[in-house]
Amino acid sequence: VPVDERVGGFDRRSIWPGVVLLVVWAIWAHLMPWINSQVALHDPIVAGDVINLGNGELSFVPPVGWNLDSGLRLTPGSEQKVAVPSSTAVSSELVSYSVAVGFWDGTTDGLLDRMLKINDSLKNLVAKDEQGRTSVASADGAPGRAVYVRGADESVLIVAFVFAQPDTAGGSKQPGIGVEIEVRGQTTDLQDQIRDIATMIATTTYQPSTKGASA
Amino acid sequence: MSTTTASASTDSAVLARQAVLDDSGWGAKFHLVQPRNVTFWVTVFLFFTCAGYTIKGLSSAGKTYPESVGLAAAWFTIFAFVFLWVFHRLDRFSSIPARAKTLAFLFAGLVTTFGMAALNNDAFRAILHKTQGTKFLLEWSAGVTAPWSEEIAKALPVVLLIGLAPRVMRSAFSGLIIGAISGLSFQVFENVAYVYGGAAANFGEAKYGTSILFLRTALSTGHWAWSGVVGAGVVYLVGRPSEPPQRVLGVALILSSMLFHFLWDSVSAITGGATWAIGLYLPFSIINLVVFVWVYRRTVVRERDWARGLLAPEVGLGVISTDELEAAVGGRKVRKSFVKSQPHHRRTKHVLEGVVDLVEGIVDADGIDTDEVVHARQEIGRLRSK
Repeated sequence: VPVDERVGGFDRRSIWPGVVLLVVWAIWAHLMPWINSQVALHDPIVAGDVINLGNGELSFVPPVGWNLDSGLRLTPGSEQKVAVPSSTAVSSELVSYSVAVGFWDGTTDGLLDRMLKINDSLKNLVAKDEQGRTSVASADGAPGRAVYVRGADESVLIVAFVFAQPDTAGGSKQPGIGVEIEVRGQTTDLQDQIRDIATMIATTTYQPSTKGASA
Repeated sequence: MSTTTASASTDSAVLARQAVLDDSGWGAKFHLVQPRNVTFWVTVFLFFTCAGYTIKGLSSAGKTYPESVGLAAAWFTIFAFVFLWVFHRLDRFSSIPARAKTLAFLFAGLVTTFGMAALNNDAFRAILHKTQGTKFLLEWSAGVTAPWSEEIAKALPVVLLIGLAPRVMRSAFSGLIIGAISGLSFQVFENVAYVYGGAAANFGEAKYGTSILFLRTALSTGHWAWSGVVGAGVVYLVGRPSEPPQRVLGVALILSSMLFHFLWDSVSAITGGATWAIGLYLPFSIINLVVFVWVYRRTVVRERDWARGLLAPEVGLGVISTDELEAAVGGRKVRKSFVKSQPHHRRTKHVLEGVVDLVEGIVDADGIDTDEVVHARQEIGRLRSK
């Protein structure tokens, strides 16, 4: 490095590119996420709100007062704004309730097995203990399966439904639609809000616009 | 034209060639480890900070979705090599060292894609969600976020190499090639994530990731083309010793990529989700390519001037004719037209390739007549007499 180009032993000409790299990194990786963490999301559920889980055909009803963290309300004309696969989350102050919807050709127990295997959020549970599985049903009679995974601090309730799609107009078979509900919170909070949670699970419905659907 | 081509260059020819090499930076060695270079230490820091995060994420995904990650990694590795070969062909006189290109690829893939752009994208889109609502998030957030967030992130390898290899980054052409490599790398790493993300969204079913793989391959004219244009724009914006700043042009090129990126990401929102909207990707792809080619043609002129400067003494030595010189440094059409005008097409093609080898030999020899340069001249003579 020429003597007249040194600053503190470093090449003066290499400073600005290094500073640009650092500034972009600081903003992109740290400042923007920090700003995001400072902005609260306040989108409370009001009476009559229905959440669109897929094409306006798959939906659920969260309790009034819970917050819509991600997802879209079902309103006239917005049915197609949410397609399968989709994800939605609502929360109370203490419990989060997230719904993942995707294509699934297996059984509800198969879906539960898969989620227990690949669900990243379960890896965070300390000393997790999988409790027994139980059968659940939605208000319109769709059968589902539930498993409760208890951790030292938090616990997770996972519920799975699988809905059969009607065949296409041309007679082609379509894949089933799997719904994975994950309810997470401290064990006592889950117990305190079990009524809201159970109501929400029961409101999960699939009403395909084409005739011939079965659940 | 004589077939005796082992004539020695005069001192003035050597000096003229060295002046061209000095101006172009061709043949400049690229050293990664430069303890007195601030950009070097920042690069080391960012690799430690971000690359670990990226590798950990991909490794975790590989364990959870092995089939999707394996297939996507294999497919997009081939995809990357095809495009790298194309970029290598564009850089006909190999003016950018392979190690510099490799560093740009690795930095873009391991550092900027997930260590910067993805974090900024997620955070900014979440802010839009909180402030503008879910409908805006679903329709416009990708178009409002990705163009500036990703195009700036993908330009960083160009800035990095200006700091770490200033003699290599001498022209807007260097910015174009490094920018394109950066965009390609970003595209490859992002596509792998899209593929296993497709499987993850359907409870890990690999076949849904595979369908995304084909879609992402079909829509392959975006990132590398936009980033190449941004890379040239960055060099025009800041200027280099051999490339006086053209700030308006530089800013215009950068903004053009952001605009086309915005349109690309907002097709659904602009058309209201119409089914015919997918057809728009075809004209958009053509626009991406046209802009890239336009910038290439504009920036490669300087490269050709430098090659012409290096080869000019060869005309005096009787190694090549003026027409051959112009064909060798010219564009594809010029070369094709010259080859057609000659009686022996195949032989002429070989001679022109031999001229490119001679340029590389002169560059490697720093303008003097080494045995390799003399051999390259003899090769031209041999090819001509075949």
